[in-house]
Amino acid sequence: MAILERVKEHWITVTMYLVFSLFFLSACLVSVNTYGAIAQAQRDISLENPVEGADIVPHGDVNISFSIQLNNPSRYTLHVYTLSWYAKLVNASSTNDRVITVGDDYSGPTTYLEVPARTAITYTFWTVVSDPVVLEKLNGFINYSKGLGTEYTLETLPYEHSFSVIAMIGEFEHEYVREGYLNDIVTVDLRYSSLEGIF
Amino acid sequence: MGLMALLSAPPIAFMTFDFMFPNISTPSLEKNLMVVFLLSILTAIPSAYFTRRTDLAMVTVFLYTAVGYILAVALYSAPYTIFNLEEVLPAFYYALFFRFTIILLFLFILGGFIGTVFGQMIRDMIKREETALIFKDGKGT
Repeated sequence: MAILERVKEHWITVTMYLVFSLFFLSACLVSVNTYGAIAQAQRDISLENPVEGADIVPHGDVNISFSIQLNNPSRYTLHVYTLSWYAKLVNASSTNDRVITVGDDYSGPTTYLEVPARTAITYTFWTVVSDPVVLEKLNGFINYSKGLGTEYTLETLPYEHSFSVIAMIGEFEHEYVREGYLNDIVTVDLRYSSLEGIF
Repeated sequence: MGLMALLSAPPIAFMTFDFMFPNISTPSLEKNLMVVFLLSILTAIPSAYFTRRTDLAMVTVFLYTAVGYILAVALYSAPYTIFNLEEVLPAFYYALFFRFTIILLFLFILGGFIGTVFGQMIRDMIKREETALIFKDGKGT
């Protein structure tokens, strides 16, 4: 009762105190909700359904293709910072050309790629290998493998695909120099490789 | 005193959380220590305004700082406790939090003590004004 009487006596001050406290309590709730949503986005944003392909096209060239889906179920738009794809054939027996590059693609920050909230986007990459020098290396690998008892064609060669995407969640600031962890919590870094899968 | 410890804790909790995540909190103080210090003074004013004894007002500063800091730790843990998620940041999760925010405790306490002085000055000022008005009207005689 004594408290009630004092509250009545100082009602303006008490109201100001309550408003002050409630303002910060609301700020705490809003901020922690954002933090939770970001943590959920970090868990849920994923790469799915990688599909690798190699087909013979007219003139005996080979079409190397790769597609993968970037799924964004979060409430934030993803701003793609970098996106890269690299396809190669590893020829361990060669001393000069251990890695035969058959395709690559890259998109930087200035491309302004986006994945809107609650959507999935499929990225498809392809390249036609028509360079006689590269085709000769591939056919050399096929012939060498045949000598070891493994039958390959240009379509069935063990091409290795690597894909990586780095994206920023929403419009949150992510260019801190000293506090690198602040950049990390709003950054999604997803990768795929033929050998290791999605990681 | 307990009620004041609860009512003054949210600003402390928010300032600590915001200092840890200025890019995702709303509204953000952008790690501005001067603003944090001024807000700590403002947070302490009610505890002195409503407490007659200065020593008790200072104890209240310790109390609400402790409650607010514990609340900030709870907010910081929210993704794992409320949303049941894995850690976003790498190891030393809590070590990082304590390392970054320990300096704020000094500011909260220092600002709190200065705030108690201000709070008592404001109360005394209002009391003097009230007394002067009472005697002016002739009610006090």
